[in-house]
Amino acid sequence: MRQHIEVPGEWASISTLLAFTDSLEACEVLSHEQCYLLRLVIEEIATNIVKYGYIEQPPGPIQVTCEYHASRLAITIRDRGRPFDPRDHPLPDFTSATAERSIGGLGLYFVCEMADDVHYHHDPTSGWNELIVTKAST
Amino acid sequence: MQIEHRSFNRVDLLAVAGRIDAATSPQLRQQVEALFEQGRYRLVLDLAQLEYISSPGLRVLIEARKRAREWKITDLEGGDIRIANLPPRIKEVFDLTGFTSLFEIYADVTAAVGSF
Repeated sequence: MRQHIEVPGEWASISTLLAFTDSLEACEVLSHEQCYLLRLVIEEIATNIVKYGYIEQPPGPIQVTCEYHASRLAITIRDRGRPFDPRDHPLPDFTSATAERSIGGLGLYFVCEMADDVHYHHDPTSGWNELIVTKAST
Repeated sequence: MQIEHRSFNRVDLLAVAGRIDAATSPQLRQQVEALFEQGRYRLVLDLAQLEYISSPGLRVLIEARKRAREWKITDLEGGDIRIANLPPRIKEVFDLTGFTSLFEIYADVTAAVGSF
């Protein structure tokens, strides 16, 4: 299975991308864990691209490609916004037991923890960022 | 997301089903804030039918917990948000984020409501 979508990097596109995940879930080939991760990646990463990636420039594209082969799901998200490697984001503060603790970066932390592998590449020549998140069926 | 509300004498129960994501978390926030405005700070969230939660939903929970706990009758008695029927998939998310130790979590609604 291979599905691809491209949307403008703006808030209205998030619901389009979530509808895209609905259609992939409806195929019923993905495990529960893969469906959860797919929705999480699309929601958290696409939201970050809209919120921060295109903040200093007109919204460019967000491309999402989902490939499922041999029980392994690979989600590729590409954009031309400000380079940002989610693996470099500081961990949320889980040491404090108080409700006042910072929970910034929670979504990125989730994605990195729930995935089997997260690979990021920025091409300075073309300006494209590419994030590939993979998860096998369990 | 669907939210079903039941009011008991001292406690309010919100049964949340479906997905708490960026699109639906404002609805949960509004429902919780409406209860706070009525002076209702003892809440139980029944998450038995919850399929998905992402960071905007977790933010609503943690902020609501903070608000509820600010309301105190005595040092020992006051408001709180307590969880009932945490599904395994959502428990994984709670475990990853430390929410499991932050919230009081009960096996069923009766135990959660009775804990207040």
